[in-house]
Amino acid sequence: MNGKDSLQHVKEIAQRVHQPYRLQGADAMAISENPLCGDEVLIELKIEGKTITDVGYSVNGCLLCKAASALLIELMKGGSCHEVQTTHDRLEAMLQGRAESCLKPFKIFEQISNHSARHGCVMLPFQATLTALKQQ
Amino acid sequence: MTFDVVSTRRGFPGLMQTARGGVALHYLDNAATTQMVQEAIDAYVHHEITSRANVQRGSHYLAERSTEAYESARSMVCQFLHASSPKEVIFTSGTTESINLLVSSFGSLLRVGDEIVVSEAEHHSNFLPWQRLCDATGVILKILPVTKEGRLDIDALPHYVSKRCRLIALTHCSNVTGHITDVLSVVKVADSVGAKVFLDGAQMVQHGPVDVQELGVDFYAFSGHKCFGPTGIGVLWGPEEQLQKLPPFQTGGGMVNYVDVDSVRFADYSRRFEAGTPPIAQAIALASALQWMMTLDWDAVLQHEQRLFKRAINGVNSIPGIHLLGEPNQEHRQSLISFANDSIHPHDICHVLDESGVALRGGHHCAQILLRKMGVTTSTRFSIALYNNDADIDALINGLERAVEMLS
Repeated sequence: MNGKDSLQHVKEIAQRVHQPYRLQGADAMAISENPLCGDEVLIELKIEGKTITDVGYSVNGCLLCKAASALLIELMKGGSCHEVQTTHDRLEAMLQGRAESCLKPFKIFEQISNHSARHGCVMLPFQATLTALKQQ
Repeated sequence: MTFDVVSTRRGFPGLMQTARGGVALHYLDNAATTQMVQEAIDAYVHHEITSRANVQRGSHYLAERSTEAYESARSMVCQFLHASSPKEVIFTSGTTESINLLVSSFGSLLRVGDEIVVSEAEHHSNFLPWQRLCDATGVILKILPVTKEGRLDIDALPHYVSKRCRLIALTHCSNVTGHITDVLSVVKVADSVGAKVFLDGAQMVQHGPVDVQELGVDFYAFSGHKCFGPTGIGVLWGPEEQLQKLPPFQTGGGMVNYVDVDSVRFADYSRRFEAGTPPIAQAIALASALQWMMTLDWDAVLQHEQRLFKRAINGVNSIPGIHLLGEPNQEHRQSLISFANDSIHPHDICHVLDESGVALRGGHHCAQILLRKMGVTTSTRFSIALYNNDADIDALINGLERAVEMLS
């Protein structure tokens, strides 16, 4: 969140999950909590074959957590289960300095790669989603 | 005698560095961990170089030096707490282990239907072990509420203490609001039913020596890293006659007098509770930190801390959208407080302030029950120690104004 333009961009993305969106009859659901602050991300999935057809969510978190949730949810709709794991791995590698880039929308989090305490905020929605996918 | 903050700061090498991006460091997370005083660092290094050996075992030169230094450290803690005897001082890894020790040992003597009283203001460390004990044993956990300002409702305490109450376990100072517990009133209520009193002193000790005899409590715990000493060391204090009645916590080397296949005689007093090799260098460094603290004029130190605290409270409280947890007065509280904003997450506030070199704590502060009671799930906290100065408070207020403007 270095600079006002960058912060404004993160805020705009975070705004997209301001209101919860819940699914009826989800095929998988999981909640992940951040032990540092008690932030909570709930993810619900509707899955047909290997494709995620719809995503329900409730995000109680900071700007980074909300922004990561919004981007992940948008990525998942119509995407594959495998894609979630791949994006998770590349994003984690970028944050930890093991890779130079990741999927483009998630590049905005590169600016916090040197704030290790905040990596958990970005990864929280991935944790919830991967936990939900393991139920399949 | 006045307090010289400029020369005091020189004794803390951790404060001499810059923060991320080369900006000045303004360390205001002292409730989590204080910086380590040079005397403690020197004592740690000196011990490891000149006297490194196990304690209470060997008879060689280094073993004797190590044991003497370790037992001298126990004596120093005894002085700091104004306890009756070094035998009453148990070294642990920190306040959390001290409490778990007490829960395990004292708890093993309780019966179904006995009662323990804790409060809504407790750090998880002084709540979860008791909750777990009660869940497992049928001992009843009673929870003293806080007032809307977040203070312990001491007036209500008699209603929570029956003749089956065996222990009242409370914080000495809240790690969220800085409120200091009215210990004398607690002890009075406990005495009326013959219950013991335990105080979690984690947030109290960095603000000066404690007098456990004057407080009239039965057990007291604190951590070294919150009073200018190292991490990995803490203390549980209890009077000799109390400790002698308690069974061991962990078992192993160093805590027995005699062992055979069908019998054992445990060591006396504090040694009974120190199984295995203790944190020797940490204990010695802690003692140096406490010795340094005892050279200070604490009236002057507290005046300094409270002056900065007043500036910080007034400054933070004047920023639109920020509300303090607890009332904004300074009565009976140490120099720490938490605050919240309805629309800005504490992690985001801490992130922006970190860019200005201001170290704060954002989150639930391991006190989720208290935060929920005060209507929030997370908050931001600043905590002032004796080495903080006006520049730290300026950076806090200016940084917070900037953060609110950016994040709103």
